[in-house]
Amino acid sequence: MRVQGGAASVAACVLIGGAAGCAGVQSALDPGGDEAATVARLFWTMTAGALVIWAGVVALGWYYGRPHEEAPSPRRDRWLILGSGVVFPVTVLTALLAYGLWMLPPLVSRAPEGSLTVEVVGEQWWWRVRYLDATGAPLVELANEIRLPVGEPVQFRLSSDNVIHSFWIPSLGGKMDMIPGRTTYLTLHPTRVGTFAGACAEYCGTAHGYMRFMVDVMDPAAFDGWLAGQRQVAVEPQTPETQRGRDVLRRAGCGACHTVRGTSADGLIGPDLTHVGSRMSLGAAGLSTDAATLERWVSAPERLKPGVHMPAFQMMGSDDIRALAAYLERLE
Amino acid sequence: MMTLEHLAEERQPVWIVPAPLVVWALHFLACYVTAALWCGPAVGTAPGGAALGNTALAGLPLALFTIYTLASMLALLALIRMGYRAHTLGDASPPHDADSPADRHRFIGYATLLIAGLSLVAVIYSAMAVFMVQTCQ
Ligand code: HEC
Ligand SMILES: [Cu+2]
Repeated sequence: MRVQGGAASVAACVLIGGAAGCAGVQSALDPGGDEAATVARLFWTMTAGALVIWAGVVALGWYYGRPHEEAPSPRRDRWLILGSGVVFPVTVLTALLAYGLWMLPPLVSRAPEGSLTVEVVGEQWWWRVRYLDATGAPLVELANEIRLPVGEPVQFRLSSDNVIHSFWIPSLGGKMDMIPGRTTYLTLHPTRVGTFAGACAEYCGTAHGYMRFMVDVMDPAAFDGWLAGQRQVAVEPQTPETQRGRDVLRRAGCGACHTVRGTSADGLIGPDLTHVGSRMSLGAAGLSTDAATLERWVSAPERLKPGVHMPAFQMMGSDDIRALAAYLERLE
Repeated sequence: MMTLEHLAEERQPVWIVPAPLVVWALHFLACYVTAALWCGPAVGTAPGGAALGNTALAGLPLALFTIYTLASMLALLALIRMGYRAHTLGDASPPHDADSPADRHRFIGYATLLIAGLSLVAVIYSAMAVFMVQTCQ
């Protein structure tokens, strides 16, 4: 039923607006969660209503634009102006406002006690993601990627320690601002397995356009397996090259900013790299996590993500960089 | 005896025209400031994840919103009544554009009536927002 409704609205979207933007990983019109479905329903209600009103206005214009035989009736015209100029718009706007306001409280209400809680911190320009346990203590930290079990409510706790960001997964729900000094909350109910894209929806500086993230909604069992995997410390490098990569990482001082759990690298400024090789994208920018991209990232991150707050390591020898990239790619 | 032509503007001062807008602005400001003061301390998070401060707009602020809204609606209804009386003075219909004290009187009344109607709708819309959402989030 739900799937049919979704297919119907995507079809309607294609008919009305052309194919672009209707389906896909980042479409609010192709909902994968209860909150997005509510928003999509509001959109379609308003679109249908707007079409009806538009047709009515055109019909009135056509009717009154024709030459008329009968005598003018100021009385009727007065009522027409009062009715369609005052009573009708006030009624429609009141109904829309009531509908919109009625949608809001469930969107910001808290998930039931004991729900999965994920803390997301807006950084410049990436997302720090922490899965929390029942007491609110962090279980595991990662970056730019969120995985969720399907069919279960998830409580997001959102904050920022720099500028205002806005956390938005269009296919799952509405957006919520991340405001320095405050904690904001967003509750989502993903209803279908799939990969979705999220983005920062509040201009936050140079690389704002690269401040994206991936969301994977999975079977609860697969989710539990993934979370358990994320909690493991980094794998020990097995090959000589990856061992060399680990040593380069230690020598180059990456650990001042990055954590690789299970090693001496315990910096907190940049993303946790413990499982960076298994990330769905690199640098919040939709880059792939293969060794070639990792090499380019380390030697000149600015080229891949203008404005990035990570220094370039061009002076590093190309063998070192290659070893480093091989090591990072193996951190799965 | 008072004839229509004796109605000079001082019997219907012109400030009555923007008065409804002032009521609307005051209502909005009062609701805004009340919500800001009530919700403002809700910053930060206590250890364990609970929010500090107020998260729900319930109790005292709701009582205040009720008072603001009823008072504003009463004021606007009074302005609507005054406007309507001035507008329907004697026997004339809009647009009240004759160069006579009586038509000025009617015109000011008519403008007040329309603006007060608009402000009444606006006050109801602001009130709907605070009463239907009732959260600081
Ligand atoms: C001055 C602090 C700093 C140092 C030193 C640093 N980085 Fe970074 N790094 C960052 C920041 C900040 C980001 C996030 C950039 C962004 O996405 O906008 C980052 C991102 C990354 C990413 C992408 C992570 C992800 O999840 O997308 C990798 C990989 C990385 N750094 C590797 C390294 C390596 C290897 C070194 C050492 C050669 C290093 N970094 C040194 C600050 C640093
Ligand atoms: Cu941002």
